[in-house]
Amino acid sequence: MDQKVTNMMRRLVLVAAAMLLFGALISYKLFQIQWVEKGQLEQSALSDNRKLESIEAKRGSIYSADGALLATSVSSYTVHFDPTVAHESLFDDQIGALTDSLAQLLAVDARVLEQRLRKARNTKDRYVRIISNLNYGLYKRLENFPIFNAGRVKGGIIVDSKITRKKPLDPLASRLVGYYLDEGTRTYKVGLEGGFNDHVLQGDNGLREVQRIQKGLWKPIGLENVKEPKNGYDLVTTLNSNIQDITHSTLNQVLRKYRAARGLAVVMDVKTGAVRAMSNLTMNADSTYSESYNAAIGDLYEPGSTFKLMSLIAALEDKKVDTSTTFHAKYGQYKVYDKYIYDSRRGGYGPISLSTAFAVSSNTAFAEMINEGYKETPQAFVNRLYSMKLHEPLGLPIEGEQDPLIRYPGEKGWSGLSLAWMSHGYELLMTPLQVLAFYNAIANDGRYIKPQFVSEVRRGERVIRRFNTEVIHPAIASSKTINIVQQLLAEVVEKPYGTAHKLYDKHFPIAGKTGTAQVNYQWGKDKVDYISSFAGYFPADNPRYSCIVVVYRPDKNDKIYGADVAGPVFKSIAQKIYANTPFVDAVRLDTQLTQVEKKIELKPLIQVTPIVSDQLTQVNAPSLK
Amino acid sequence: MKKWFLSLFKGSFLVSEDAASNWRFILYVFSLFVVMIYAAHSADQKVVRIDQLSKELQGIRNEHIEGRRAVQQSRLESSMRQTLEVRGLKPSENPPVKIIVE
Repeated sequence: MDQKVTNMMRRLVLVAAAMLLFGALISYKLFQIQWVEKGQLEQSALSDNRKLESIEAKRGSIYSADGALLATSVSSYTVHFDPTVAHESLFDDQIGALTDSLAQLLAVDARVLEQRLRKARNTKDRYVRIISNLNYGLYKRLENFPIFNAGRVKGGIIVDSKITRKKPLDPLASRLVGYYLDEGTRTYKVGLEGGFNDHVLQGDNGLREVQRIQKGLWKPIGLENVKEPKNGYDLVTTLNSNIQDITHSTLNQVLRKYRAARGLAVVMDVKTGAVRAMSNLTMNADSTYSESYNAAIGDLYEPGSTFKLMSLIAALEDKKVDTSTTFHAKYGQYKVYDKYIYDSRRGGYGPISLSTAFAVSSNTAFAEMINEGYKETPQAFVNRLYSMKLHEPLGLPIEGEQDPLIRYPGEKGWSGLSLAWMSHGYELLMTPLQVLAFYNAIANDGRYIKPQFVSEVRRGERVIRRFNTEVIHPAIASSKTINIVQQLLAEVVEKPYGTAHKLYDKHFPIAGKTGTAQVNYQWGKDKVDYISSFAGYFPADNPRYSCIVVVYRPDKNDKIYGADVAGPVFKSIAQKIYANTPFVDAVRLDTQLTQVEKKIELKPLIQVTPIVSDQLTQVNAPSLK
Repeated sequence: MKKWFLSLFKGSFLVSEDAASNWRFILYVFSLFVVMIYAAHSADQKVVRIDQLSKELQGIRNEHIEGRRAVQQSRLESSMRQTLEVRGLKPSENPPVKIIVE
């Protein structure tokens, strides 16, 4: 018995000792964790389960002046599939139905797809890409497909979403709307998205402290965010979606017809400078056209005959010519040193008046006008051009505007030929928008204003900032000169001998100037290409819109002249804008019935052939009395 | 000190004559714990719900924008013209006259 008790005691002591040791070990570990490893552990716990998370600010949207959405942020979805997740019965039963549905959506062969997915299941490939950049509507459809509708855990559908920028009116004004890309090493700032990114659209990201609660799910902690996010503002542009559409489709049509390398058209509001449409189309490898480069602001070109307007204003202002001046270039050629300038009509026009010279776009007359007028003081001519701010960029809010080049006498590149060549738009460079802004100034009675792309910065309905018209020069020339050139610009279209008479329509008079500039002429005659343009405004008597159309390198075997290629785009745009602008006629209620009838009779909308029979007249007759 | 520990281990504070007040306090602490645990859970649940709702909201917004895109595209003159061409309709070349009766 004693022996038994002793044995038991021994065992008990052993167990107690073991437990004591165990306890001591735990205490030791506790001590170590609590005092020795405390700092390290605390830090790793914080970094694994707590972090500072950026709260992304919502990027502002871009609108047209008529309320159409031009750019906004939406989610796009990428769908992967884990084929190993689904239960065997589910997979075998429904894989056929799934691949049938997917095949329709992806436009692939259902059987090939099924084989691919079966193979992935066998090889335990757990991340098969199904489709990326899916919009919400399609994603919702895809979510209801067989197997996928069982969800992530049972069906194996894996969905990732990311915020992308969408242009709901694409491809209209796509390049002007532009994009903003920050790739770490480089930032791409294109168009309005780029130009108004930093202080308007982007907003300011916030910061908050978050704690992990589940895999991939974090909850914010603390009462306030470390930094509140500030969403970006919305941008309201001056574009009009309907005018933009008309401009885009008309330009596209003409470019395809003449197989031109590139083309652009810009429509501007005469009084405010608001750009209502800006289309820039470049030919792709497959002969289609897309908005890939903003040539209107970024392409310097020799404007050719459209520059005759600037030369004429200079000569009129400096009293080198007046409306009674005539020019005498013989045989359609004018000699400067050993070089000749030719008129586009072989043999020339004989002695012609100033107005005819402008209307027929005589190169020799303009060379004579500027060369003879300024050859003693070429600085005076250039100073005059400079005083009209033609040598300065417009200072646009978007990147990419090129500085115009108008050389000063004595500068590199200036020669004895320069005056004569500059007179009709060579040896100088401007962008199409700079040319348009100048024509707009003429339409606007000499007030030279900056083209405007943006009218307001908003948050919801609240206007944060309004952009007013910016005046570059309040009067580029005397009102007398302006009146003369306005008249001459109208005559280019109105007079039967004018280069743009094809554009004449008595309902909506257009004023403007054609231009057919040669490019690559320095490489020899067979290398010559053309830039065909038309700049002007409408209606000529009370200008509302100014517009420039430039078509680069139309097919040389077809028509190349400004009036043939660029002119019709201009006319079409003008005609459609005219047709969309209602005439407003006010009628007073107390006005005599006969007067109202008279007024409407003046502008019949539809010609209705009278179908009133004698009988009807008889029936109606008494009630009229 | 030794006595205090012994009584704590024996659990006499739960059974002694004046245990009632101790029990009240224990119940109070216990209910505090329950409330705390419930609050923590419901906060977690809310985070999950907010996450769900914001995804749904984003989805609905996307749907709205897609609808708007379709409307914007189809009301453009160029697409109208294409659609109506088959019916022999084309844009008018004359502007409409708006008559305001004063």
